[in-house]
Amino acid sequence: MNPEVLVLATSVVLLAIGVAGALIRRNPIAVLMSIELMLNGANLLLVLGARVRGNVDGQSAALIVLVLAAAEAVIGLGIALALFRDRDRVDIDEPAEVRG
Amino acid sequence: MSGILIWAWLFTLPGLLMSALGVGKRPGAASQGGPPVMFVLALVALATGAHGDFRVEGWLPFLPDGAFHLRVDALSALMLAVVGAVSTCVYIYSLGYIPDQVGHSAGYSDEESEVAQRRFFCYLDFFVASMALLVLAGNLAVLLVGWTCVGISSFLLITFLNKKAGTLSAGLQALAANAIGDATLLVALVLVPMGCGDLTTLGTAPCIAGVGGAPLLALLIFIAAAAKSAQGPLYFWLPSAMAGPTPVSALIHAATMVAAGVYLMARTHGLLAAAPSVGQATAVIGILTALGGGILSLQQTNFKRSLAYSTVSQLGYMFAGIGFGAPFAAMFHLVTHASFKALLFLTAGVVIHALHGREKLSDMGGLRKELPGAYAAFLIGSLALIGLPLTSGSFSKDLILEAAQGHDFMPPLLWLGLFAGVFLTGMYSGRLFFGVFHGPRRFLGELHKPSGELLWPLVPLAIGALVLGYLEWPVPVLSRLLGETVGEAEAVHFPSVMGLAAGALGLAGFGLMAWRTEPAIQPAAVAARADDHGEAEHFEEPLEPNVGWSDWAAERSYGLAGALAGIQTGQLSRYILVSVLGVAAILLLTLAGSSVSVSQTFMGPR
Amino acid sequence: MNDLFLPLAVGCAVALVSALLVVLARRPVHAVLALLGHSLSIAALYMILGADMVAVGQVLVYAGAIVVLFLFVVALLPQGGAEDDPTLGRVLGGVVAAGALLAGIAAWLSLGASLPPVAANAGGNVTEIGRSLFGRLIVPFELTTPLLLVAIIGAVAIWRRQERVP
Repeated sequence: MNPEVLVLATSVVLLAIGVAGALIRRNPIAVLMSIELMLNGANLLLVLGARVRGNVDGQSAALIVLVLAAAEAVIGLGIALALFRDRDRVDIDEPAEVRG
Repeated sequence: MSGILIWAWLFTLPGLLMSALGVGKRPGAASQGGPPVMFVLALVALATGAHGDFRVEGWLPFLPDGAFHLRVDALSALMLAVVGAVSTCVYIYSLGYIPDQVGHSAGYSDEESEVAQRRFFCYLDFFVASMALLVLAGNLAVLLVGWTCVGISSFLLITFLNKKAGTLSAGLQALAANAIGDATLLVALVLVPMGCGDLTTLGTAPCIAGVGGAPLLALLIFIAAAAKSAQGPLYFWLPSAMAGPTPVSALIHAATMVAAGVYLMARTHGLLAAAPSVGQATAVIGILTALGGGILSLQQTNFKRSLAYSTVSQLGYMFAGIGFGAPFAAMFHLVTHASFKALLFLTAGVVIHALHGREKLSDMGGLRKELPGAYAAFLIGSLALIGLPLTSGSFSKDLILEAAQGHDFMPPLLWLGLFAGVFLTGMYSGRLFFGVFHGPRRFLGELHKPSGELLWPLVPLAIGALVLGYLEWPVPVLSRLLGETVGEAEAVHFPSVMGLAAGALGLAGFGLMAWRTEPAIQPAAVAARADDHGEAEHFEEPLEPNVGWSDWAAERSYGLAGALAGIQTGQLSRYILVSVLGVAAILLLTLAGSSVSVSQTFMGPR
Repeated sequence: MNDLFLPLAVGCAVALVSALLVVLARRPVHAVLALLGHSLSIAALYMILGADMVAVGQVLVYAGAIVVLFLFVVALLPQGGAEDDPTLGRVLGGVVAAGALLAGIAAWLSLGASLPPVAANAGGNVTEIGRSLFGRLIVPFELTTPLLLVAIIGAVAIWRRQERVP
């Protein structure tokens, strides 16, 4: 296979691994890390696109996504800490106050 | 003719000034002249096909189209006729209704009462003037002025009863929704290219060439219309607006102001034709609102709120008609709906007035012997609402149903939703009718009999509810008159399978409630409250489906809502799972319906 | 680009393996370290693909800031947030959902033509990125400012509420 397809496949599989992680893990930190994996996968695809199309916009977009990932990690971790700090069990399915 | 009619927005100004200055013995008597004049002149203009234009350039020089532009054509004449007719009835009705609302029992002194009454008629005149300006507007700038003023007058009238709890919050809700609509109209006003502010040419090629094009403009106008007509998520203000006096609910929040959204969409139907995706969204939102309003109406314990949700539902039908490319059907339903909904509201006012200001359904029952006029009026209004064949409501509703069925961009399930809504309409109408007028008498006090001023305005509205349909059948007079403003229209087919089926469905729902309405409160419980003069109605009170009568319908729909809410478990993993599966489903479904070009736009041409 | 195949293959392999470790690690600290390795391998991939500035940004932001933040939180949570083994149903659900998404994306991508060949001017340099950020992508670039502002305010707000609770 040519290398572009390899990287493309990697990015998509990274996305899938991140999704599986977000669904399987009960630890909020693990879920957040899985989300970071997904973002990395998407970024990889952006950079690949920039290379293949010769257009540097993909790289700039990847930089912006990096900013987004940082902001999201901050808020996600803040919420996770605030929510789970004083609990015994750190289980993401336990706080179910938003029940319909 | 058109030369005079173009100044129709000034017709209520003399009345306003006289009420403001305290001229005249009886408050509001001076204002009675304005609406009938508007009605008659509009009718003549409509019949003679009058046209008129009035334009003053440079009114707002910083705008692309800042002229003060008024226009008389068939559509605006029709709207003026509707506004004039319903206003006339409501003005007369208010003469008999308002004095009690601001009388001694409500805590007003004599002087306060007179000032309040004059204030009321001032606000009413202001409303009619703004509504007329809105309807006569030839371009977006003037429309926005009328649109905003109508919102302001709505707020003033909702909060009119300032000694009653909860009116201010209701008024603020109305203002909030209105602000959303005003904002989107303002953005549209600024985005429209030079020289394209004229409402009727909004859909033409040079005017949609700018930023975003037709879809953006159409979307902005749709959001503004939805805010004004309480569609979709913006429905919340209309039930709360029932905090205002009943004549206000009848005029503004049933017949005219909320219909302004439909009018705007009909007026700019050319723009909507150039943006089919927005048209589809309009249809979907209309259907969902129609169904949601019907279900919510069944759960209400307050007479006027139940009717308010009915209005939301019927407006949904009109929007669905617009979305399915039948602006005439929507306008036709607007006209018939104005008649029978105003009738229903004014009759509700008679009942409330008789019960000394009580609006709770649990206080009502068995009133048909003592309020025969109201009984007959409510029956006629209800039959028109549910679409009994040969009433006005049936002709207009059937036209919308036919437009929905004939369209090809929707899966049939959605169209059936509109059809099922007819059954819901029958149910909530029957719930009100049988609950209020039949069954045991739950209010054990003396009824306050309605005066002539309260009853006579019901007559022309009732006649309209029965007869307005004949404007289109057997001879399509109305569609021919409106032909150049809203485009070609389908003819009304009568009798048709669809029409008869819809009528039967509505009647079935209606009749079902006759059998199912049971009192949940025993008469003895109400005796203790028979001496006071009506509690303050709290519009933010939590719904109590078990208190009040006819809880069968309310309980069924609450049960359904509870079952659906079980999807929300509160667990994050569940939500993520559903989201991911949803995205995967969307990807696979668009795959099924797409061609290679989808991916080529993504990856670039080979 | 074929002479880059071996480095790319190695980089992708490391990225995938470390990603699996993140998801599968029992102890949270191990998962964070795997994330660190993953971030660095992704940075290497960016470098190979000619995106130098993005690679540097990845190291600075991801490996340098985000991973450190994760480590802090793991330190503050009780037991670092260790959890029990997932049930079979949960694992199945996760794998099926991820698989469905994968299938959807793969099917969608396979619709189109294969990837175009690598263009001539494929390497990015800082000048080019600058031109792009302040040119075509000016709006997203400016929008990151309120995004960061909201994140800061949000983080502070969450903790103010914590302190108010007695």
